[in-house]
Amino acid sequence: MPVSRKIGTMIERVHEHIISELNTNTRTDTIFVLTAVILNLITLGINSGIASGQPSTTNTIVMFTFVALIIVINFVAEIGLIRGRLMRKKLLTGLLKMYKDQGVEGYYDPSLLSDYRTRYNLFMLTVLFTGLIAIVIPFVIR
Amino acid sequence: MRIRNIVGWVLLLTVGVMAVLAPPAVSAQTPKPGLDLTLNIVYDNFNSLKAGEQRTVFLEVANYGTRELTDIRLSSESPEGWTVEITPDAIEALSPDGVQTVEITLRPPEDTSKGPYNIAIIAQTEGIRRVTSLYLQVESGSLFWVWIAAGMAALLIAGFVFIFMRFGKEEK
Repeated sequence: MPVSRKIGTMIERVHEHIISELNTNTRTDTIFVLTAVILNLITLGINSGIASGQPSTTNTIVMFTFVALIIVINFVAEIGLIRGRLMRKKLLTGLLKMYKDQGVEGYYDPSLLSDYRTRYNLFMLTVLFTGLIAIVIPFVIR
Repeated sequence: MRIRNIVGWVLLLTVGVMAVLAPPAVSAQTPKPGLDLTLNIVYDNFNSLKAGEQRTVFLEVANYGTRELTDIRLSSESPEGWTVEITPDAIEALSPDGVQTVEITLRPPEDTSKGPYNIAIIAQTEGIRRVTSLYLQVESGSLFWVWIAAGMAALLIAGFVFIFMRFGKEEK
């Protein structure tokens, strides 16, 4: 097999690998966002229910346990999303370089990288604000 | 002999049926004729108050009987720590169809938990005892839990900012 053809096959493989990594990355980030938001909303419901009942030490402990869970889950989701964003940036930079080497970089707009950054920041804000609501509302009801 | 047995069984059966069907002996105190004491709480639209806050409600004491009622004593049973003042706490005389309005001043303690509370208002006279229930919803008077929530929200925001600064730096 000629060397140029072998390199071409390898680049194809690397391209497939990068695309596969990007898909995995998207799935993982979606899981992080959905898990955090759903858990925040469930906790909001549970803690609001507890807060509207008769106050007791047990209820307070349960509420604070759920608040601790929210805080941990939100921090984990944020770290996951930041890592996901960095990973996506690295993968897309590699992909862009590959397109550039192949002379097809004109088909891929580099501004997409900054769009992804904005999108990830919005995801993080969504997680943060649902978390804030889940913490504050039950204590206001109490 | 046989007839005597039958008569015995019939007698026994009659006594049994009467024991089951006869009304039980009345042991409760029957109200005296012509006496009727009625209590009616006059609510305004809001029956809620904050912990530590004073609230006044009115109670109508009415005599719908045919005889004059004398020496009506009013008292209350409330949760521990509550202050309940009834003014006046005694009515010397109430003529038939007469109504007397009484002022009830309530104050739950500062540390009262949020929730529903019942205060029993009792009126007693000439062997009659009437009880009515005053329902009140206590709202939390302090902003303690709101501050706790604000503190935890601030912690969450600070954590987010810290993580964003610490892990969000992009490698050049």
